[in-house]
Amino acid sequence: MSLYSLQFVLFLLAALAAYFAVGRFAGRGQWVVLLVASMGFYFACGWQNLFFILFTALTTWLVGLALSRLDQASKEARDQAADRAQKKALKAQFQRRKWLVLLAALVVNFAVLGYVKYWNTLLGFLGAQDTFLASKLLLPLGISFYTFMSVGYVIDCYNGKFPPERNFARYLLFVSYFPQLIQGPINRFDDMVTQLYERHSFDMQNARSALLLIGFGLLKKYAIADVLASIISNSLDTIDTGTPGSVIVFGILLYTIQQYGDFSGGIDMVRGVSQLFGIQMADNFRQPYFATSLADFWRRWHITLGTWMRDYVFYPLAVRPSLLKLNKWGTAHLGKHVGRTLSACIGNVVVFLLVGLWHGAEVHYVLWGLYNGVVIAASDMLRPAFAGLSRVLHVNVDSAGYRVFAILRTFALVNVGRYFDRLADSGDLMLAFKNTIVNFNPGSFMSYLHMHPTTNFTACMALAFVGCIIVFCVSVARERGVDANARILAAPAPLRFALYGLVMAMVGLSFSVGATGGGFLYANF
Amino acid sequence: MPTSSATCTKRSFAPAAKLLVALVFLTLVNAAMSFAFEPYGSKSQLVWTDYTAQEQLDTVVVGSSVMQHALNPDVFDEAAGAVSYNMSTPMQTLIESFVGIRTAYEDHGITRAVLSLTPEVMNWTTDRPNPGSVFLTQRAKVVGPLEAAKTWSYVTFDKGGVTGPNSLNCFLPWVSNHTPAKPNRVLKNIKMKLDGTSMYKASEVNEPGWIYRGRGCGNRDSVLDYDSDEARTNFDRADISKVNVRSEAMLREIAAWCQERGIDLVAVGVPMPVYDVLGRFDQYCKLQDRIAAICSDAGVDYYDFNLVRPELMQIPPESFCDYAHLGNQGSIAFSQALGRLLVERDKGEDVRALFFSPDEYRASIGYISAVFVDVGSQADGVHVHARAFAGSQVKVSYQLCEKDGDGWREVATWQDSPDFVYAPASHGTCKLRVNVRVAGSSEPFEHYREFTAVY
Amino acid sequence: MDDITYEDVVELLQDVEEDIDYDTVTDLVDGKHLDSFDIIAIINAISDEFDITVSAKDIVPENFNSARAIHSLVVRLAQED
Repeated sequence: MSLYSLQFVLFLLAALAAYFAVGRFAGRGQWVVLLVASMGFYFACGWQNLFFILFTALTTWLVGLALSRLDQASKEARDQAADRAQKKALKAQFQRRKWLVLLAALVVNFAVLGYVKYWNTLLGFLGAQDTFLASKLLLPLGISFYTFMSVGYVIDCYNGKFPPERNFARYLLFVSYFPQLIQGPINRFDDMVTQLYERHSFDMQNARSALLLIGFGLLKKYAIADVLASIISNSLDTIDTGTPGSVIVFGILLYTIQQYGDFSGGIDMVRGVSQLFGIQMADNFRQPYFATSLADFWRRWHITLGTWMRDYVFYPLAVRPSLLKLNKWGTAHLGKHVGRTLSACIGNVVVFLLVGLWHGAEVHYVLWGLYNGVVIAASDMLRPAFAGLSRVLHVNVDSAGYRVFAILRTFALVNVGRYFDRLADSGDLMLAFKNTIVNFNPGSFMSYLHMHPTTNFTACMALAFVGCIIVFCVSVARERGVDANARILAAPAPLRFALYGLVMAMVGLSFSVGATGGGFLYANF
Repeated sequence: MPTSSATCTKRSFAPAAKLLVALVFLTLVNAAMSFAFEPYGSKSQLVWTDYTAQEQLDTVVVGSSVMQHALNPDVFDEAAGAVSYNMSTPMQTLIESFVGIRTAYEDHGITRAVLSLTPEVMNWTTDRPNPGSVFLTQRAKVVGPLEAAKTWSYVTFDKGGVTGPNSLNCFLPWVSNHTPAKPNRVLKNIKMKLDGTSMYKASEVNEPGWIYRGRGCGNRDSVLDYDSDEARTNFDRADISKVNVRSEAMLREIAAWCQERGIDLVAVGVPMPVYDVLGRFDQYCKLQDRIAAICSDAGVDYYDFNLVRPELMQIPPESFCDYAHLGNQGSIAFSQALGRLLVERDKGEDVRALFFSPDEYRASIGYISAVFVDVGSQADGVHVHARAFAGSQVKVSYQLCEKDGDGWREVATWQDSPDFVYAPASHGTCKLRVNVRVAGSSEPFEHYREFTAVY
Repeated sequence: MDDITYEDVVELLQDVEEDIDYDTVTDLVDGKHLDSFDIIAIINAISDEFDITVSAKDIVPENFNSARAIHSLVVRLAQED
């Protein structure tokens, strides 16, 4: 279901009305309205896909309960044990059983995700993509996101972080909560469990804040990202030896802007929708282009994917005994800093390989992941060297000037990564890098753009530019810790209304001058 | 206590009042944007305004801008002995054509409807039904709010418009219907609305050279220059042979509706420039076969005037005023031809004999219509592939030139092959030109294409 | 097995990241003073110096937000062994 449609608006109004009516007159059970709405939303997006989400929800819910049962049985058995040795043996035995149960849940759910997302690509590698083996399934809505959420839940149950949810309907709501289905965020059970099931009354101030957030998301998605789409395609989709590097850099810069507008705009819209129900979903973006290092960038971009990978892949991997042994070896032979960092670097590269693969089983995504992983690992490995260099050059790393330098440096690194992200064909990728360096050719910039013209080029660029100014101002305020939403809502009415009018005008104009279908880039995940 | 209840009432009304004020303000902004951006003198405005002046009608003509240029009701009425009105508008969808036919039937009890079927209309894959299209918003102004609401509901719910952005943008009419995105055009639009310019004058100001012929028809006196940038095609990258399932379903729905009411629905392919037909001839023929099959199955007669024999209509190159539309000369010829065709058909004559088969058509074109180029840069130079469109019996020769001051210098002499590789001295931009002529001709060239290559 | 003191822990932390005043800062993780690489370095150091294995499930902000919290964690894990 498209968010920008009358269908969704009517759906949302009906869901909100039912939600708050139930809250007002029944006092409890509002979460049931959310569950019905989520099932309805999923149904409207293709009823056949309900099977997938129910399967994941059911298997992970059962496993959560099983793990808790095993914990209980383990404790009882150990209480009755004769001596310490037997206690230890029993503990290990039950731990093994728990691990097998967890493994079963992981294998089954990742197998489903893998099949739906990667089977056809694999067949393509083997040259068998046109055979009967090919999957005709369309990607079920949100499968990448809800699978990760469910897997996070079972791992948390395994670690005993919280007691498992005994009510399947309540658990199903956590997995299928409709605002998070389109493109995340990847929420955590302990963050959602209180909010989803507690009572929420209608609060006007909260609703106004939510609507403002939705409006901001609309601005970013439509008036910035969508209007740039055609220009980016015309710059980057027909790369040959003659394409000036200046055009490629231009296209990549616009792509960087488009990615942010589309993804964070979409996230703002769904967070705003969730906030209308009184439920705050996790932040997914925190002014990413103000990052001072690539590592910092990944703590500000697609935050929930980063924290998920950190907690469920990076930490478990980096503290494995085998890797700690590697670190000891490193300390002995390569110095203390290297030794301490080795396992983290390996863990980091693995994480980013997975992040790359998560985007798609294509070579350029894997390269993109590797690029990010290696650069971050290398920067940490070389930290003492950089610190030494700064001392020698008398650079004050705490100054504002250095901060600006770090931001620009990081922005450049991110844009280099975007080459891998945007250019799927290896030939195009290599040509693009080559031409950026040896054939920058700014003199042919305008003629190339004339050869690949975009309708309403100036209007689109102007609209995106105004949008970017607005986003920049808001971002600077937020970076300084100002609650931009609250400030705007507290501003005098004429100013606020002017802003609302401007947003409405810009979003409408984006449909007038831009030429896209309006889908989200991350919606096929 | 009076004070606290007054405060209570105030508090519970205050947010609702604020919301109301905000909505009113946004409505005003919307109205202001509409005033500035909705074009005065749009084709739809002309069509619907003049429609209300029609006292009687037995034939309605619907379709996109090609039909709007092609069918001149005055000429057609004389040839066909009918009273017609041309409701065609730019980029008109089948849903809109259907609404037009229904309105004409309800108001005048028409007995015939002529519908143009173009490749765009048959294979539009981005046809999110738009309840706020300019055709429907202008119609709303003449049919009244109740009818308009019924149509809005039909397009939004029956036709699935509710799932797309148009379902929200229809409340912002200027989104679908706006002047070109240039400040001077917007200012001119506002000025014409304020200073009492007639909408007919405005329509001609909006599109200099376009002349309104009356009763919904308008076209140009000028003639297409086949060697200029104006000669182009919309279909270079798309496969035009596919028929969109929604288009097919809509066509069948219209056919069934007309049949139930005894309306003679005639589907027509309006002539396109010859290079556009020859340009992707295989796909074109496949598309025509599919359209013909659907029409035959739905009980609708379909005539593709691109393949018409000269006895019924001649289509010399001067018939066209731009890359897609017939000009005044072509429109008069077409309107006469269509009128005569319908008269003969009503008499029971075999009108199929008045059309070529695809192979006969290709053999009948004894000249080169136009030439286009595909350009790419590789390590060894600029690669040029010329595409000349001519009849099947015509042999084409090609020559490559580079701009030299005010003239052109030959860099590759006349050859039979359409492919050239040219290595400029250094990286940069170069201006090139391909000349074509019929093999053996003594003309310096018959058609050409100038282009820039970045190497 | 010697008791691990608070000072031992602070000394270990200074070795990993020296620019922080561990006696006063109580939001090492939440305040982004330590990143995930630092956490791994600390865990490595704990393994090297105290021979204690910290597992992934112990890596939560509550356990690493202050030197005191890290000390409590280390002591608890030492006792469990």
